[in-house]
Amino acid sequence: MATTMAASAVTDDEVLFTALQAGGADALRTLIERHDGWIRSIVFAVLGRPERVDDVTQQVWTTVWQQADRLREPARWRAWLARLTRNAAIDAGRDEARRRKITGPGDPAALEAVAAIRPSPVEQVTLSERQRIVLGSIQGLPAIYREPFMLRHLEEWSYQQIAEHLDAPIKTVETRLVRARRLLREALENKV
Amino acid sequence: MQPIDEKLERLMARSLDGEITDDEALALNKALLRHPEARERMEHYRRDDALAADALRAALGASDARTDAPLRETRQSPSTFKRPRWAMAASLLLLIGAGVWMIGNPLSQGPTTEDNLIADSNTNRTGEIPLRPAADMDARSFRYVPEGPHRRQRRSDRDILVIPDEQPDRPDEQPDRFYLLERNRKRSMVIPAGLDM
Repeated sequence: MATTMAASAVTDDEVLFTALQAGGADALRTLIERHDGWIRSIVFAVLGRPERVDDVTQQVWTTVWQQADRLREPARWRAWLARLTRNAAIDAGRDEARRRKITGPGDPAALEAVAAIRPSPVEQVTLSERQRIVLGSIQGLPAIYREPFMLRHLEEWSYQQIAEHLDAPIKTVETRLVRARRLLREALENKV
Repeated sequence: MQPIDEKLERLMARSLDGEITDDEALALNKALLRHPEARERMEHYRRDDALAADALRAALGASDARTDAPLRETRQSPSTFKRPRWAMAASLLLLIGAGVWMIGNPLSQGPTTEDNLIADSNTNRTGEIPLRPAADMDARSFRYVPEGPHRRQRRSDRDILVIPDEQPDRPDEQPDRFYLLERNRKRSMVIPAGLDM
């Protein structure tokens, strides 16, 4: 039953992408409702910075709207969207690194003064100390483990779904999840 | 201390992820009964999973709709767009409009192609903003602003300003052209106008 529902949703998404290519704004709205979650997971998995997730995700959907007609095979929309998301996150990471290189670490007093006026988005979210530690440990995971881990723990995807998404065998997904758990345990040992 | 082998760890992961078969569950239970370290590890993993899901949802927000979940009311509908941002953009728009009017509306004499804009930006530094005329834009991009899907953007660092090219002759007319100005607050450097002349 669940498989039938998932298959029907996939076909439906293909129809939505075709509608999007014809300029259907409603189709995009529905696609955002359905797929925003895993897009955000991938952005975080690649970038490792929660405060940039909203901005990059917004950029991804804007690109989808502008470039949907470049997708020649609507049946392959998921792979296309995943690639587009990864590239956007990688670019955002590069920009960030370049900016840090140019501006340097900055004047600590000035940074402190600005932070007092405008707290960073992560601070606005109000995370508990424990949540911060756990999030920091997840950020510390290697990116190849972080992505399946995020999709499993935030989106609750099955091994099969993650394997299809990553275009990898289920065994590989399983191995990455086992290692991600092991590394996370080591990182959290004696901390929480 | 008895080591935990890879196979046992895989079974634990499958069990925690709801991917375990009946036969594997039986094998796992047998192994856990005679392996206290494995039991302890399994409990740690279970707790870590809960902590991870909690931290990720708190930081990133849980997905409102998963691929095979039924559709829900959109959380990014236009009505949920934060009004103060619009109010701020409208105020900025008015300020810019007033500024443009005061310096004799140089935008109406703006260049016609992007190349010209780039070339001009090197020589003309006296207050003209090198904007891309809306007429040159892709029609879909333009439609995106007033009609396209709006997605609530939390913690955004961007402002989008819509500036009419000129005032229409009659109040019921729409301006022919608009300039769209996207400003990324993180990447933008604000310099006092006096230093840029």
